[in-house]
Amino acid sequence: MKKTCTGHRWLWIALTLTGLAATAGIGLCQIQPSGRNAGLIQFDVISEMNLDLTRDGNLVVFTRCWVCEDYYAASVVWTEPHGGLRDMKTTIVFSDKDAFRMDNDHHSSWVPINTTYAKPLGERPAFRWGGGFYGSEEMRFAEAEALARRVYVTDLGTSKGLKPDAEGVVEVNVPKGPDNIARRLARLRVRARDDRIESMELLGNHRQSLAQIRYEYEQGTSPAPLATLVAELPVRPETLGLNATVTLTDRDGNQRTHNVPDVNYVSHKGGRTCTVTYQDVKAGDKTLRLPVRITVQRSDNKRLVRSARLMNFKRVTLDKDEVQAAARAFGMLDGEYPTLIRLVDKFLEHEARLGPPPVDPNDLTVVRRLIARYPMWEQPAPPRPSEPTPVTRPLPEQMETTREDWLKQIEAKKREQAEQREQVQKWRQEVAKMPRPPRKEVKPDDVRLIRQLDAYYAKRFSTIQGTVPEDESELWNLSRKLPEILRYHRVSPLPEDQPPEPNDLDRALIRRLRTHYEKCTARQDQGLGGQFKALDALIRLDLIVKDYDAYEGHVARYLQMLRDADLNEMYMAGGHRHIAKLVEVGQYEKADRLFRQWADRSAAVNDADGIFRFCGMSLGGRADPWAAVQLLDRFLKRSGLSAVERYETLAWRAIAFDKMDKLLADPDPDDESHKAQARWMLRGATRADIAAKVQAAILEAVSAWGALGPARLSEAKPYSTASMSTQMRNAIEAPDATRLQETSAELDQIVRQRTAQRGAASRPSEVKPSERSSRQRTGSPDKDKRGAN
Amino acid sequence: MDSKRTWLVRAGLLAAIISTLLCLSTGKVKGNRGLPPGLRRFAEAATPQEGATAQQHLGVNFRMADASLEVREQVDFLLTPALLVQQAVSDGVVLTYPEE
Repeated sequence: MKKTCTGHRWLWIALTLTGLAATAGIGLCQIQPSGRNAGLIQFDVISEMNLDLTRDGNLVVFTRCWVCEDYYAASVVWTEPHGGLRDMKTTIVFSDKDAFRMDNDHHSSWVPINTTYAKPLGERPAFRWGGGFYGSEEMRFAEAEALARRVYVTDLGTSKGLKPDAEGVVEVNVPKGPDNIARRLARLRVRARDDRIESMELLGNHRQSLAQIRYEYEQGTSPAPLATLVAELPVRPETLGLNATVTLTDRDGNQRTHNVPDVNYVSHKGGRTCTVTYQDVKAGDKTLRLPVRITVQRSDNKRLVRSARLMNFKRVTLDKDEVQAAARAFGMLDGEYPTLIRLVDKFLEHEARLGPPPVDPNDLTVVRRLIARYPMWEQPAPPRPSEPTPVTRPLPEQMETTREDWLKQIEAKKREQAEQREQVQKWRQEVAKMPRPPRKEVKPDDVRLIRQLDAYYAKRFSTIQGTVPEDESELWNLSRKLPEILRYHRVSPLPEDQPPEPNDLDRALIRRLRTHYEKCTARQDQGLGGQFKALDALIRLDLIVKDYDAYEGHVARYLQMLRDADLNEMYMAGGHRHIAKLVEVGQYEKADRLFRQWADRSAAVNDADGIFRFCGMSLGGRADPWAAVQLLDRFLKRSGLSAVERYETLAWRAIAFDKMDKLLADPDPDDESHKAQARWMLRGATRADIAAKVQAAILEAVSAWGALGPARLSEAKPYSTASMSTQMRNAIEAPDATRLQETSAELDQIVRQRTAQRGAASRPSEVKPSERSSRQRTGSPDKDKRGAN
Repeated sequence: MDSKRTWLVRAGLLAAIISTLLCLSTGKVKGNRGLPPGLRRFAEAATPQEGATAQQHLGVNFRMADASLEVREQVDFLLTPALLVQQAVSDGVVLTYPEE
């Protein structure tokens, strides 16, 4: 009797625990205290993102968020670096159960924002963007997709009574979501122990894995709160919108239009490992367990893709309208900003207004006479390709019988193409030997007239769709020669190209703005992003009035702020941008002072990935090889570099040295920034020093590559898909080259170019023995890549 | 005896089918020899429409798409902190990672 009673009690306890475990939801993940009682939370986010494919490097976004269970707002106050197309275009997002709203007054004229999208938001359309462009209005689908796979406590309720499998995993079907939310989630595979979830896999309708989530808990406390959530997101299918139609003609000459279907592709290549760190944070009178850090890495190579730090949590009492108003007030531009932009346009981004041409642009005689004054070398037409032999694709019913013939046709076509390539090569060699008319200095009045006429014709011909009419064709052909004159001959800037000097009124405005933005740099309510925004305004005002002492001071402050905020990659990329400006305006001493500090710290605090990203950036190491070399020299002195990291450092260094050497040997006379950069380089080294160091740098890099062992033919294999044509890549389905492989391929090209140049420049008898032996030692990184896969 | 003949006929039929399949597959392998995988899809297209589709797909610049897909991930990440905190302050939601 007693035994039966104990048995009942244990059964009751077990049932209660199962019920609690199945319905506890957040309790299972030990996130208490939180939930609805937390109220409305305000916090700041600093997000760092790496844009490798567009070579834009590191981007930092400063955002303030207001979040409660029913709605949220996110307001971007600043993006660093600012300008170009890199700003986070959408400033303010507000989302509740009815709609997703986006606002941005600054960009309202050219992107479809300032819009309310009613919910449900529908499915994300096929991806039609390219080249690094993406309309941020599509961000709304990210929210819809996140909600479509959100897991609710009630989903786990159905696990009641289910037996775990041998691995302790319970698999449950997911019912419809609350309010009939469209769900992509069909099943869950949950492993739980001691009343808490250890891992969970989210599965879609076709049992495809959407995410695998692992939960890690704090040690030593009971109940142990959640410490980290690690989500493994797989490579996922992506449809690319093609929007193409082709006309097909059958054997009887009948034509039919065929719509080419969209392309099945993938996104999240390499997979993503997303780690969320949770901590207790004090918000008002409550302690809440909230996410404080997010990192996203590529799963295959562990490289950091993006991260976010969440901070300054506060509980606030605002209603929905007040939250929207607060988000707008935080992210919108202040009242002085339009004045600042007007001044920047007038003085820093000045464009000469030359007005209409003073001659009749239809007077062909005038235009011909102008062109005749500046004879140019006209490249002879390349050899005309022979009429291509059509390759007839076999009809399905003749597929087997004609396949051999078809392959023969392809072979013949390949031979034809090889012959044509040879002809083009020969033509290029002949062209290179042809004499060219001397380059002349174009008279300022003619420069002005050419630019005026060019602007007039550009406007006039832009309205013509398709082919230029016969009666306009001569004018069209002449008009195309005008900009060629400016490219071929020597041209000095016109007085109109110089920005005006600020007048008294401008100076008064600048003083007012300086006072205003100086105050803003100390304002805490705008967060760190607001302070960077104000500092950027001050730096631009310094440039307008050419106050380079103040500029140096503000840049030093900028670097210190980045340093304090642990934004080390931005310290490197953003700091370099400002130092390069000082070089551009010839303030070398100031540039030197900031540069030394910048190079020392950048090399000391950034990891190899960050350093190499800077070297590959269009506006970083690629544009400024001197800065790259200085940085890499310091980085090489760091202990603990792996053999592969050491090789990659040396490879980037050799590439930068080669760029420097080419820049000094053949500077672009019309490029003022190149000229300024060359002058700056020559302050620290002579032309001969640099030329001598190039060969040594290349040798060192190639030797480090050779010492890699098997890795030189796998992870460091010289292999480039960036230089392949689209058709070639797709035809052979070439796997993407890694950054290291692309770097090896670039180094390989340099070795080949220099070997060919030396071979052409000196007969064998002229090669010194020492040089000969070094050449034998050098070899190309590509030398024994054949046979390696 | 009859059953044995039947078995022999069946075996002969089976051998003929296997030989045909082998010949066909050998021809196919020989026919596609040397063609890279992307072109093979074009070569093996069963209809003119499939051929036209394969040809168009050969011209798609996936690098350009990759660059924008990278930007999309980063832009959509703007919402992730808010969505994670919203999960934490909501009753009845199990913590997971939102999609970006």
